[in-house]
Amino acid sequence: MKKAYWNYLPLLLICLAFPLVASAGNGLGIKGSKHDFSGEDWNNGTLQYGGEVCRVCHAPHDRGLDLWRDADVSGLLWNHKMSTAEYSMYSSNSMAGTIEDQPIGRSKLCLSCHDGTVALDAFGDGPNNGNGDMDTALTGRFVIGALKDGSNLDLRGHHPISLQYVDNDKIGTNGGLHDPADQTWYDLSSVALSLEQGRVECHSCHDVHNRVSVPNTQVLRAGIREGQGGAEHASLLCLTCHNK
Amino acid sequence: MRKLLVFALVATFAFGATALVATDADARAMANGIVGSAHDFTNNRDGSVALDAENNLIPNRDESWNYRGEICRVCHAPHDKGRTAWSSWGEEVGETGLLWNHALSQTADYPMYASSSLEGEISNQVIGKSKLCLSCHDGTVALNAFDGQQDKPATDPDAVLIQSFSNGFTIGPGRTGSDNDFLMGTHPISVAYAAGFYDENPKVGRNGGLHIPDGQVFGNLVKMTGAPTVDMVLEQGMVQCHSCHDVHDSKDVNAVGTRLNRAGQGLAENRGGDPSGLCLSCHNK
Repeated sequence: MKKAYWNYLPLLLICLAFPLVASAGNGLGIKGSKHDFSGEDWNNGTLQYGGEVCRVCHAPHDRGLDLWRDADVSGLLWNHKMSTAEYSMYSSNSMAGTIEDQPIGRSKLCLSCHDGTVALDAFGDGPNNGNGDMDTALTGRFVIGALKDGSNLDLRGHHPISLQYVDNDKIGTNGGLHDPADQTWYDLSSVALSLEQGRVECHSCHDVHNRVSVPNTQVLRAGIREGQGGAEHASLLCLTCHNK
Repeated sequence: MRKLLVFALVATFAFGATALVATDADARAMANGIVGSAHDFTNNRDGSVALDAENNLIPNRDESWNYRGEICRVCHAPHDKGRTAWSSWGEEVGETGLLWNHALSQTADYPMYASSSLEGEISNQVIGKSKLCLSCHDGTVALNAFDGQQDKPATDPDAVLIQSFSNGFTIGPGRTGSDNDFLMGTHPISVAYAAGFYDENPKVGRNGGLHIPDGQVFGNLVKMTGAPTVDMVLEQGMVQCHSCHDVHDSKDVNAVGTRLNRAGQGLAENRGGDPSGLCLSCHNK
């Protein structure tokens, strides 16, 4: 009788191993995540400052001061060259919140890589001095807008960013929007805190540091398929804000 | 030639391993304590030597401006040697104590760090111990302006810190020759982390935000066994210069090869072996 327990050993091992596999690289912090570039060749070009995690985007002191002045946005010790592109902004005849003429705030920082016009290694003031090698620029599915028409710069129809959420006529109405102050993401973090000065920006849905994101999504703060990230129903990400 | 060799050998033995390590011209941290460190301003502090134009051996690090040859005195002195300095700016220094003995920067208007994502309150101006660091590191005060000598002109023009790409001794964009007081975008100091009441800063204790500082260890846990935890390096709950930089180069506290950082920066062994370990000690990313 006692021996029979061993028959369950493989099953037990699988059960133990599964959570490790399922969560690998997701929701565990920036180390080992998609945004950990410490092992990339292009991030090891300078002996003095190569091989760091945070430095590709952030650096204290004055290493990236000129880059920060270009960015002129939201602090964050920004250390990466900014894009100079102009974008076609999202528009919709059902939108109640106002949208900026161009992306602002932290979305502008995301676009400094994700519009595909700036090299990944264009950071700091090392030998690349904010220019970098365009061979490292993002392509394909890592570039937003690319799915639309290939111009990379068209946010219409798919990326409603720099868009006012708070003080919005739709808030509190059925079929409209939940009050962000009352809403939490799947990990119980506040929706209001994921806005930037009341606006929806890239980081409102995507946790770019991969800490609170759902495994096997594009670092989303909630699941989009049933069961994903423990979601009781599909489209949890959308329905966290949209009161449908 | 033989004399030179003998001198070099004696110097090496006299100063132990320190002299062997201290080959990097910009004096990276050695985590051996302040003796022989970047902040040890006794003349010829690490025993390393160089040759002058006439092939005479000279100290590699000429700190002859430090007229009494002490280590602590450049910044601290008991009794009344630094009384003038202390009383002149007692309002700022008095609160910090530390037997402060170095002339303070007269720069009173640093544009402070700002960020739309900042939750902790930031002071209008630099306060606390950071002000003491700036008394040398904003590049406006001579290193030898201590011991009541703060009104005297620098005896050595090189005694004011300068900045270049390889020798970054001043904060701010000093490489362009001005604006050393510019902290905006670069130096988040005198900013509240948490003073024991973590609900003051909604980021503390949150994933993606900040770790709870109590008991939070810096970087590579094994290596930094003797190091203080994050709560111990805040000043009345604020992040200051010394929160990240251990200015006394205390043994087992600094990551070797960094700028006196309490944890590593890069993967390489001489950069702490811990990619962005310093940042991630507090930022829960």
